[in-house]
Amino acid sequence: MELIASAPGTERLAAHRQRLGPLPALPSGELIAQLETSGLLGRGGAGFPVGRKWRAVAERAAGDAVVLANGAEGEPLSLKDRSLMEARPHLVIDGALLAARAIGANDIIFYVGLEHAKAEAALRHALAERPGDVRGRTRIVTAPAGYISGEESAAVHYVNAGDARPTNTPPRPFERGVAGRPTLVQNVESLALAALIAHRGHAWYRGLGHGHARGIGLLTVSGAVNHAGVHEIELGATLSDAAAAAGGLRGDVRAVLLGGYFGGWADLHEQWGLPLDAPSMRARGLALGCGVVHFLPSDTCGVEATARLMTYLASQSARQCGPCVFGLSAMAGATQRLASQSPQPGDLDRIVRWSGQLTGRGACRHPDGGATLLQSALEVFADDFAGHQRRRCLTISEPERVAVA
Amino acid sequence: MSDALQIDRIRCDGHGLCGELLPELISLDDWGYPIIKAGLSRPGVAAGPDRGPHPALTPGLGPLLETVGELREPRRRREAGSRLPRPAVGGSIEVAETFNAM
Repeated sequence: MELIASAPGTERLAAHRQRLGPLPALPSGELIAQLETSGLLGRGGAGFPVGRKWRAVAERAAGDAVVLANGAEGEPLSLKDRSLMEARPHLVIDGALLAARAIGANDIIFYVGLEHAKAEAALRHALAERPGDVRGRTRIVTAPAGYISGEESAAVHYVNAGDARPTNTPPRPFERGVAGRPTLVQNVESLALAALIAHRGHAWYRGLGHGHARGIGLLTVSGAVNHAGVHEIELGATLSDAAAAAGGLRGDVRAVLLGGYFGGWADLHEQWGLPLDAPSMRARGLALGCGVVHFLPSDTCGVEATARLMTYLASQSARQCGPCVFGLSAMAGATQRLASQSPQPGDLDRIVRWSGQLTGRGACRHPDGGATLLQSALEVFADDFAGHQRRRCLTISEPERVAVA
Repeated sequence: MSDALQIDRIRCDGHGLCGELLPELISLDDWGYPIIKAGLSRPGVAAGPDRGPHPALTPGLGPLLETVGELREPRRRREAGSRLPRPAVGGSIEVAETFNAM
């Protein structure tokens, strides 16, 4: 395992160096070329090519760029970033140092979620093991709680002004970010993988993976499995492999949430052989996102599960943009009414219409995420939604519902 | 090269004036917030430097509508704009150039 520690606890600098050797002294251009050839895609959710992102910042920077290592894991079903920072902080630090060298940055910020106290402590101890010149240009910023504070423009806004709400783009952070300087905002798992590629070369990374997929990655597997948690896979491993890695499914499962609250539902039987790899999933209209795989037990109603997710997403709006404030809460409200079998006439038609209207209508992609999630639910749980509009749940039969009420 | 509308979603307060002003380009959702009609919106495409309010679209009302790039049909908009009442709070629209090559 490269990203998950084989031993419990936090890896110390000596062990890290023994495992990987000294930080490679690659020239900037060569390192970026290695990353581009490796095909490494970002793991924060968007899946943007890492090498291309570094090149974009490097081309704009004149030695004054900033690296913002994003460890604010707001996604409720994801644990992989905090687990990685806690287990292998030096790998993340190596990635940030290499990024700083490659793009011409003096300052490195580790932006770590408020809830990830153990991860922040591990990073702090790890930095204390580093030489003074590293410590001198590195700082840890604690990100406020909340789903949206890890969004990249929100992260930059928080560092600049203490306000973790997204800002309009353009300019994007790589154009004008922390203190107005070109800023590389990169998820901590992406940085760790970049460090491994720098240590071992792109050929090593491309030698891993199944089928057409290349490389490795972290998943957070939860729901109806025997051993929920963070698992490292070779990309291109299937959904059934992910279930097996998590100790197998527990009971009957009908649907799976892929990519987290920002991803979407998929029918388990249709996608059991799905390769877990961003390009393969995109081709099927799905998203790997931040690597969340959540199995929904067959005895849980998909409409109710979706209503919970939508209610959460609506509650996490930064409340800046009308379509997000009003659109998401209206969709969440109608889905909740359907879930509790007390819909207003036309609720189902309304959420179908609203979910088709939200994409691209916020400063950030928060409303898009809610719309995509709901649209996937309307497809995967189509019969359930139709049943709930008629005040009938297909999952929980009448006598059972009375029994648990 | 074509024009595309870009809306400042944070400043927009949903007064719906843009939908009245430019019904051929903008419809309004159930809460009065603009939906740019298909083919005109290119989210994420970089706009050029902000050139400030376009005189044809801002009859002394502050940054109600702003342009980046070249406007088409300015005459029609000027006529419509001249009848505008002063909004309580201005939203903001930018017209950005987009590149067909992207």
